[in-house]
Amino acid sequence: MEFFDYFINVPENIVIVSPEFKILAATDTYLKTTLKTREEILGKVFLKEVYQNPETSFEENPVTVSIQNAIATKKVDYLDVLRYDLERSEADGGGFETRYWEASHTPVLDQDGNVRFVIQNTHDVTERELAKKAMKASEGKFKFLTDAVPQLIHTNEPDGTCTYVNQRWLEYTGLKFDDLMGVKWLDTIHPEDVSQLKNLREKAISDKEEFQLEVRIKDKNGNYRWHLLKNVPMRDENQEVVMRVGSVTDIHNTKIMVQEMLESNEQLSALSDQLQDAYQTAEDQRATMEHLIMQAPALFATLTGPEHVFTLVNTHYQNLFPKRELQGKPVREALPEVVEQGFIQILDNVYNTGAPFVAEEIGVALDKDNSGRLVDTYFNIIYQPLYEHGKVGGIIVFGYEVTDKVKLRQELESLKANQ
Amino acid sequence: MNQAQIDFQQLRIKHILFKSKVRSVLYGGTVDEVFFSSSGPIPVWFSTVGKKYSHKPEMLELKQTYQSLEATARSLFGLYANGKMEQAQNGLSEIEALSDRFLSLIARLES
Repeated sequence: MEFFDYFINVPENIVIVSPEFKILAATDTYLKTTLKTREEILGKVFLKEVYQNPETSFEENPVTVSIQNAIATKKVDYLDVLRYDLERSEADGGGFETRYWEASHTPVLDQDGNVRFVIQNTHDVTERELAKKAMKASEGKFKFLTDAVPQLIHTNEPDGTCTYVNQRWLEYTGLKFDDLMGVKWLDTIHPEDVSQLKNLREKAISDKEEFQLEVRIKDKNGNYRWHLLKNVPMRDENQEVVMRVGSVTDIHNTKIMVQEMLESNEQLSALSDQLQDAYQTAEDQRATMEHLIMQAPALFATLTGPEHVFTLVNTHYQNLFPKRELQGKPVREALPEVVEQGFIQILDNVYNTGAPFVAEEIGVALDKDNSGRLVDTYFNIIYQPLYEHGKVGGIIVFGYEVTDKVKLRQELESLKANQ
Repeated sequence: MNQAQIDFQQLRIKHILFKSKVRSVLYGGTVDEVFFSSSGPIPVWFSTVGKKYSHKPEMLELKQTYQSLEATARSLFGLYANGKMEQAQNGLSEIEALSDRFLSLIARLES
């Protein structure tokens, strides 16, 4: 009795069955785990009358097979992790509860070597198994995640050994998973970049820090493309590095684009400098010319378009008509007195034919002081066509007044005639 | 195009070149030390052409904005050189924000 008391208090899930599978004894722990009472199970056929597996028959139940093995071989038979759902009592809502088990079946022999009974010792590994399953699901999620991002992703041991690459690594390099493990992935790096990468990597690993570098990586066709490689350490709660995660982003096109943009903007800038210089030179020349023309002791004006609009009138020219505004007005309007004297026809002719008009001592009757009194004035004058884009666009008027000379001569001539 | 437009057009083009130069450094190019020095084209613009417009209130702000651009560029070059490529490239958004300010000041000065 004392021995029985010891046995039932062993803190293990132990059940003892006869070679005919009749339950002979069980520990309290076993009963507690299986949610049964001793009365409910003693003398019952194990796995047939009690503890049935709802998913398999008694004969095909791996536990039955394992016990039969132990009986046949007379040796301990181990059962791999096994899902064996336990019936829930009605009070607990009935149905079955998911459980995972690891069991050993030990045959106990009599003096003649016949099996007297079999001891089943079972360990409930449900928590361990569920954790394992959760881990597997999480690995699946991780893999899905790394394949979904548009980057090459890899993981390393804290010492830098590559342990995982995502699908994109395989697609980009055209290599097999194992060809990239360990330090073999370094073979895909451009020879000119590899030593810098190795130095940086070694330092980052020993400092337990992240590192980044632009490197060229060989694709499946043997072409190198620029990538930004970033590798960060993942730390546990004690700040110890448990693994490293690498991400590799293709920056090849961006790099080329940036370079092209720089070159094109450098040219644009150089061109704009040249333009600025040319503009400045032209502007300086124009200013000199304008100064010269405006201050010249001769008549100078430009007329633009078929209406001969005054666009430039120098001081000397303006002084002929001190009280009139010429700038911006057509000749017809600015100098109405010359219309009847035939000057518009002369200007039209220059404008239409491009033939210059040259005249010496030509007389014009001008209303110089806006009094309505016309004064005979004489000029040596040239009307020169002004070409714009190969077409006459206006007329340059250049001349000087010779009234005094003509008058003097006329006086001289009249004096001679009177002599 | 009047003289002011030509003057500011020059600066606008130099500014675009500035951004390209910054970007190129952050994608593996070398730093054009002359360009980013006080004898670079933008500081020279301020000390020559820009003098004509020194009476305008926006000019001081324009100059300060350029100094911020230059300082930001330098700090991004520092990040890049210290292996913080990603952070340096992300920092281009700071340059962009300053650039918007710079260009809107130019537009106001031009008109």
